[in-house]
Amino acid sequence: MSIFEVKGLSVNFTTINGEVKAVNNVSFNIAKGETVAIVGESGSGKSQTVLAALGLLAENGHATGSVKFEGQELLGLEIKNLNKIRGNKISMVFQDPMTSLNPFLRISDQMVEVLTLHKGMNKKAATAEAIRMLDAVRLPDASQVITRFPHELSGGMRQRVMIAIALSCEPQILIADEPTTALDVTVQAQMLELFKGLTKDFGTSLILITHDLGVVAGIADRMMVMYAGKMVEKGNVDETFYSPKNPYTFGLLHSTPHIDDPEKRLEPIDGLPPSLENLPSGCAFHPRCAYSMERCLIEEPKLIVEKNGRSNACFYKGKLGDKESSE
Amino acid sequence: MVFKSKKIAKMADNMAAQGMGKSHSLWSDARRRFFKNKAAVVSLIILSLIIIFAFAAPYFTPWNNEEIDWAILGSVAQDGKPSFTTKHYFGADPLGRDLFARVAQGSQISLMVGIIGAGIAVIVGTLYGAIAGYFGGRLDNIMMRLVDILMSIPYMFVLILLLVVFGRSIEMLFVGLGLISWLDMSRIVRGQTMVLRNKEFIEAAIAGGLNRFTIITRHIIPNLLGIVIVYASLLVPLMILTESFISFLGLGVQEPNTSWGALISEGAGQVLYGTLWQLGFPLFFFVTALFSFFFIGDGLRDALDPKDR
Amino acid sequence: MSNILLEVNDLKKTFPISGGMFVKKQTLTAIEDISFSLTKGETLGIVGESGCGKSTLGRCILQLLEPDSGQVVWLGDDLTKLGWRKMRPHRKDLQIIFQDPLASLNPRLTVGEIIADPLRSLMPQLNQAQRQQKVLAMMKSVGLLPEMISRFPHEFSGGQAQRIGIARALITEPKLIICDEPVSALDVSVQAQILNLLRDIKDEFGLTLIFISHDLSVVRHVSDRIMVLYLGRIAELASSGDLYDEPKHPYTKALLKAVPVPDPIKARERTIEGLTGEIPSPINPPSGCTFRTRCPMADKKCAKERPQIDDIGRGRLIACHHWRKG
Repeated sequence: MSIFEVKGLSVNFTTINGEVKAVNNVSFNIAKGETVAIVGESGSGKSQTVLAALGLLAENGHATGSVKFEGQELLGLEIKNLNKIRGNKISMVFQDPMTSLNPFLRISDQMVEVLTLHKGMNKKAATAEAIRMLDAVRLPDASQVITRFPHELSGGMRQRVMIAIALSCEPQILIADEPTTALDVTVQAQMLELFKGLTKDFGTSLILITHDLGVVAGIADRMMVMYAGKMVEKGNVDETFYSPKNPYTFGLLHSTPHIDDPEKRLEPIDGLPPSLENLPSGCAFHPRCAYSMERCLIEEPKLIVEKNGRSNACFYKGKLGDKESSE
Repeated sequence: MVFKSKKIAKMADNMAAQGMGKSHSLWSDARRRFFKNKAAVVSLIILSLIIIFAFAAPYFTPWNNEEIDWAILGSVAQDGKPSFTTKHYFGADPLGRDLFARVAQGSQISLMVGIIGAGIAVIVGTLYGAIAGYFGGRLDNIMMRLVDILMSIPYMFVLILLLVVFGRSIEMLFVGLGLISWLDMSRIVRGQTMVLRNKEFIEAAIAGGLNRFTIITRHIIPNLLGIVIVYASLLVPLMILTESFISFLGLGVQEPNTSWGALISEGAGQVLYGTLWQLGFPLFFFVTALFSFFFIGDGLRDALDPKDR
Repeated sequence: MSNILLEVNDLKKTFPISGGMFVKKQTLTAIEDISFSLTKGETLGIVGESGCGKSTLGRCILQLLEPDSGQVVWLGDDLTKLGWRKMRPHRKDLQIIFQDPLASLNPRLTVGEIIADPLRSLMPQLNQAQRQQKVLAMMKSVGLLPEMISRFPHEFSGGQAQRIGIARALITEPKLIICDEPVSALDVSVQAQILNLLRDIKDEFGLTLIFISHDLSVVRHVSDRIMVLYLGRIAELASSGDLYDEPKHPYTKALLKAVPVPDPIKARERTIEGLTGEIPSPINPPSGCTFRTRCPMADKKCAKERPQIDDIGRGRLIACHHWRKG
């Protein structure tokens, strides 16, 4: 049962150099309790997609299309009503916990704020609930931590606080934008375990935005790959990892070093990610694609849903891996 | 290596498709941004006109700055008004001298003081600050404490003292202004140098075997120029103001040389006699020039904003 | 023996955390008791998380930072004893590639000027034309189009800018290059290009590399031997095969288990039991063995005594009281 439905979402930015399309006609659904990863590199539009949904775009950005949460349209919703949903039913955790927390306020103030606003609790009850949440995210010594300022905590601890704040109103959906990129590997592993546990305990859907395929393999049920603002492949994680259909996905998987398989020479994707202001004609990936045909230069492939529920946007129907991407 | 050539060919196609466009240095980017700023461009034009006036105007008038027009002496308030017939375009000053010529000459002096004074500040301050900031440690400590001491001396007091003791002359004015004007600049440059020093391209330069002098001149100073230019453009009006104040007090340039400050001082004293042009013209040039410098400084700051790099 | 290019002995570097005039000065020990040797042609990976001192170590070897004590013996000369002037001729052989490609390039200089920069001081006998030739040849080797020579760093993407940095590091034909997180700031698809490039130029130019990174997958991919650092000290040093197949230090084991693997079935089989807590602050490290606060095998001995770095044969070093129990 889908609680989050995105249909034909496009995001345009008005810049000095003209209109830049950061997100181009993206559609997907999220079901209750599932963990979905949106994968892409810089410029893929993965972050802008969710920012648009939550009304967090920069001033010069405008979103068109439809984003429905539990049947209610979010795009264009008045701020008053949007605020009842943001932080409450849909929360977000960002990459850099230092800049997401107010350095001038104690942790208790920042957590209590959310609870008094959305749950109408009084300060005392909110503080108790905040401590309970900090325990739930396995922050040791929660009653001490809550009295501190952000700069007194380490990166991992601050990220846990962010997650605690995001979860304090028991949202239906938690969006995490590169939540572990800035963290050390061992801390990242703990954080991912935490996400897994929390989504199970609270039944929260998790939208995870990342460029790290290892992270995706660790906790996602389904994944969506974005390139130059378009969605190029969707499917469940196992199938997509073991038999990707899109040449870009294939390229990404083969350019990631496997710690278990170090001898294999990496097969990088040739060329550079495109500039959004100057996209190639037809399929945006064609200049870098080893499987491109004449059609790819002229037409943009549409995202087609295939029989087994997987989607792919590509004209090439053959087997991937037959051709080497570098001669 | 065979595979490289194919890769490079593909990359070339990519670049063409990407359209890297014309090469542009950071300076040309900044220049472009500056010229989009209308206020700054207008100010630049106005300032250029003032400079042209200051140096070309004396050729357009039969009078010079010290010649007394005996014909109107004694009745300056009535006969000394600005007019084309008497060729006193700006009128005459209380002593019957042509105001047009005097304002031109005053503009020369004020502008030169401003620009040369700022120039000295920039050169001395930048070198001093860059050396202190780059080497750090005890050298930096000593150099900056010296700056602190000099800064804590009330400069106006010292300047006036110098002028009184050693006599009023343009040279003394430059010395006095020079002594105080480089201090702020050195602090700013030192701070900026310390930021730059930790950047990785400086480490790369050290690893590249460059000697310290070359690192400062080749890598640090060009990256300081942005902030130096902006500050210098604000320093010029400051110099002009300081000199004007000194001259207003009667301690600045000696007669028959004059400056905006001196002219304003004279003119202000004559207001009661109704000879408003004696105050009006120099004041107009003074204020317009200062405003122009400020707008240009603003424009430079926006254009060179490091945030956009 | 003549094959050993670099020998580092008991290297230590601390930083004062200034208290100011009335507050007690604290020191941060960035690295301590670092000893290892490097043979010609190998790639030594240095891996660790934040606070482990890996970047500090790289810079100390190159004398970009002055070590407090210890020796860095390069081709027989102790670099720590050389002043600025005497160090310069050695800089021809010792180069570095930085993490942030754009921060490591002077924004005011063109690509050509940046790459030629080391030549001007270290090979002054070359004239302008000869320098230009070398620059163009190097640009070709790293995959930059010759037209790029008059462009400025900010016009390039991360991956291309990193190629400029690599070209600059190679131009003096060095023997050793320290790669300080060279791909961490790059997109995944570009990372692979640069990693392959580094592999190729290493072979083509016969280089020895020290590869510093926090990403164990990347380090494993490029290194012959790997040194694991924790809070400034060596936890373990072994060949990459040995380290991966038979990690002996509990931190290494935990690190390997924590690395995200882009393989869903394998990822599900992993668990990270045993690793708790956060990395302690390097200003106030735990007594004895610094890893004991997170180690499943820690006991009283670990709190009292700092483990020695033992050589357990086959070039393996390990610093743990209880590694045998693992």
